[in-house]
Amino acid sequence: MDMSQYLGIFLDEAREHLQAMSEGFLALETNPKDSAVIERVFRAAHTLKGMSATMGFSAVAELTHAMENVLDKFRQKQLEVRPESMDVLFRCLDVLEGFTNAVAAGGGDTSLDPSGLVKDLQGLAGGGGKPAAAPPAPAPPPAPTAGTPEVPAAAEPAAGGEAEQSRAGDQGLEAPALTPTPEEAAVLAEAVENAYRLYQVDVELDEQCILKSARAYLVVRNLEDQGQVVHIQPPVEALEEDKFARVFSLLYATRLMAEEVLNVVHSVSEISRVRVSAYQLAPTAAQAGQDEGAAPAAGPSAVPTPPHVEAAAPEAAAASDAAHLDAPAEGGAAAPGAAKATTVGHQAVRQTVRVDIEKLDSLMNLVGELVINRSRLSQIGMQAKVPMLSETIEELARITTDLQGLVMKARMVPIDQVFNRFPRMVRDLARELGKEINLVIEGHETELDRTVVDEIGDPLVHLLRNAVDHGVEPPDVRKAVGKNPVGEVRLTARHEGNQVVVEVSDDGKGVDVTKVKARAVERGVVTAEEAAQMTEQEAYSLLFRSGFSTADKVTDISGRGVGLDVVNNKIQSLNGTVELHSKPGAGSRFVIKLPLTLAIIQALLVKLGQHEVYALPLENIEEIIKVPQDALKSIQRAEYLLFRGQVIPVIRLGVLFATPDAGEGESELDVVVVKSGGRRLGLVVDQLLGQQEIVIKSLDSLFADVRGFAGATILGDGKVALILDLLSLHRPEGGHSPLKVGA
Amino acid sequence: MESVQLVVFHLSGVEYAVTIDQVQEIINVAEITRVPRAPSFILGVFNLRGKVLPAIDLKQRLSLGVTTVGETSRLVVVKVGEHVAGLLVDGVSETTLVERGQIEPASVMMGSVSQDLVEGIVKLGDRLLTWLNLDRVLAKSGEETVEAERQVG
Repeated sequence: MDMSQYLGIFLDEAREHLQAMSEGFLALETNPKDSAVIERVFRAAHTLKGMSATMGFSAVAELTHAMENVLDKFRQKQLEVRPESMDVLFRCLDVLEGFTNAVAAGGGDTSLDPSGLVKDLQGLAGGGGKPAAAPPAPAPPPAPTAGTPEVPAAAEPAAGGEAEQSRAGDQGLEAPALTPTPEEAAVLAEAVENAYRLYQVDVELDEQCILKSARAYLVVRNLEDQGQVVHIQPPVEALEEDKFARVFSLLYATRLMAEEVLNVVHSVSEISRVRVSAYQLAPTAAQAGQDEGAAPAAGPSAVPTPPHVEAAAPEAAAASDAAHLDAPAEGGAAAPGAAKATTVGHQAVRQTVRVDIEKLDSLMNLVGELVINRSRLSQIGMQAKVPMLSETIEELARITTDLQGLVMKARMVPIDQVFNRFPRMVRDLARELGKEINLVIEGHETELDRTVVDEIGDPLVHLLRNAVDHGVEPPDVRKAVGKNPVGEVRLTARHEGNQVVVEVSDDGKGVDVTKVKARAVERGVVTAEEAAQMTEQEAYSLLFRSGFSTADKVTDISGRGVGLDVVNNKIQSLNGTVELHSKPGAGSRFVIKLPLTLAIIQALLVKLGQHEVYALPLENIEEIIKVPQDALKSIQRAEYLLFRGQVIPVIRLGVLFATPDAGEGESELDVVVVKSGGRRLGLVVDQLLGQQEIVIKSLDSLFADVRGFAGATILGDGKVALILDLLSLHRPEGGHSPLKVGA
Repeated sequence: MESVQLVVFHLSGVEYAVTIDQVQEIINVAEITRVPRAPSFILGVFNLRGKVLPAIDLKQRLSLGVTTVGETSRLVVVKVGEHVAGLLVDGVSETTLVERGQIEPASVMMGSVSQDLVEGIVKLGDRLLTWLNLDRVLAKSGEETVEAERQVG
């Protein structure tokens, strides 16, 4: 039996069980007596054993069987849960994970040699202090007694499902035994080797059908699009010359599922009944040869009938057919009905579809282009002032927005995908370093864009390693300072507005600001005067500088800094920020803020002068106000505005950007109050154009040194508008005065 | 003998060339959006079928003055390393196949264009083409020139 069609399901489920076991083992380490957990991991191992045996992965079955034995001893309280045994079990998980990955990558069972681990496991099961339990032989019995009722139970649904999936259509239709020629058999055998499925497809044409040969040809051709039709009965010549009754059968090698095959056949009209059944290749060619003579006789309905006979007695044929038609004579409906039933059963198991990320990416790009063109269209619509056009455009806009939302959601994945490997990593690291650490994970269901999830893993690994290695002190040190000897590392994720905030914190020794400053001065990163003036936060930010953190010695002094610049670069490349908060002696907290998506944002479009349009990210805008010219107060060449009792700095964008004819003849000023980096800033613009969704396009690295812009976007009229980077506007440009540029 | 296919264009009546491998397409001058505070040789960005690309005034980059866009002006869209950019030129004349032997290394003689931006001099009958090293033209080493210009401006 070809099991390849279940491989995907097997892999998905195997991974789930492995993940469950991994979580369970970790839980057992903290609470070895938790019988519910023992029960859970035992079940997982047991199910995995059954699954892999069904799939023919005997080595996996052997290994999981041995694991199951050990777990069963835990369960029966014949064996104590000890760190050594957990180590062996964890190693088994690693091997099994490696195996599933190898299978997923196209490898096979051969990549796994479980004998070493099996021996270790048997050693555990046998050496549990119960002399009676001699390793392999007595060990199995407890498992089977507990497990036997479950094995068939687990296996049967699979078998049932398989039968359902390999057969579809009208089971009442007679299926003649087909016998491929030796050449055909060879083709079939090769197809099986290449993970194709074999089906026997029996087709009955509608009795009203006039061009039988044409219909038969269409069926064959459509099937050939998706696979290979290897054998046809009656022979092709008979089909071509219409020398057959309404039934023909064929052998078909394909990657399609049975019901898909059914659909292909039903796409041809004037088909009354179809039956698709899995075909077993006869073991030997000799046998096939033997059957050859008998075959035509076995399928009486397939015996070629002269056309005039059928035409002469259509009533009779219809009557005899009606006997085993379970639906009205318009039989087409019967088979799809059956197919639907199996599909429904299928969905109950799996409601997801795996999609190539590239496809999602290009979908996202296309939606981006659609958004641009929608804006263009609505601009045209506004000029044209045709009511019908405007209505259509509005409708289009709604649909585009929905589509965009959906595509964005389709790209969102829970951050759990990244988080779930951390418990194991932290555990291993802690054991290696002789530390005791309790990893607390919160918000693992937080969703964010696929691209961000893919990129965030490495920085988090860095920060967690940092926390375990340099943050949390060894148990004796912790005891000495009166802390709980078990350190705590927290990993949390949550949504905050349009951002995702991920935090890695520990209750370790924290970062000593004075040492960081001293080190920075020593390395020439800053001068002693600069260091003295630095705030705590500014000093921490030194740790993220590349010149600072490359030195290993930093680790000895501050306990921090290894590769933090790498983390910082990565996060920045994702348009995110990372900050460190720390209290010496009480621990450190890294706060990472990331955008939910990298592609599309809401923006306010503003105009400077007569022609220049800029986009301001809406999420940073607090308020838009109109103030008289004299509301701006000049203090030392900088301008300020009193806004809600607060003095905020104001920048005239037209002046800053040296826009021609900016700010002319206005008695009142439009000020956009933005908030970024915790501070408020007023931006004077010449005209407010309105809010719009824009697609962010990055700027060429030639602009890397040009501050003030986060990217560009293409407007409805095809022109490019720059997107303001509000964060960089906060910092005054060093060197040249904005008034002078381009003047 | 090895030969190179070149795209020949002119700036203020002088002919220059780049290898055709580096040229993606040649387009009419698109609407360019100014990028404030960018080096002055970068005119801004333009939209090429949904991509936002920098437009570079090649004359300014080579310190040959400022280009005024006219009838024959074109943007030569080049791909060099990670950069895709449009080079504003006064006109594109031809593509031509030259033998390696026709190419001489850049000499000190080429007074007007900084020598490190020149790959070589191509002799084509009685014509002399300046073959540009686009890697350097688009590299950020242009910063010194930029700073100098800024101070002047």
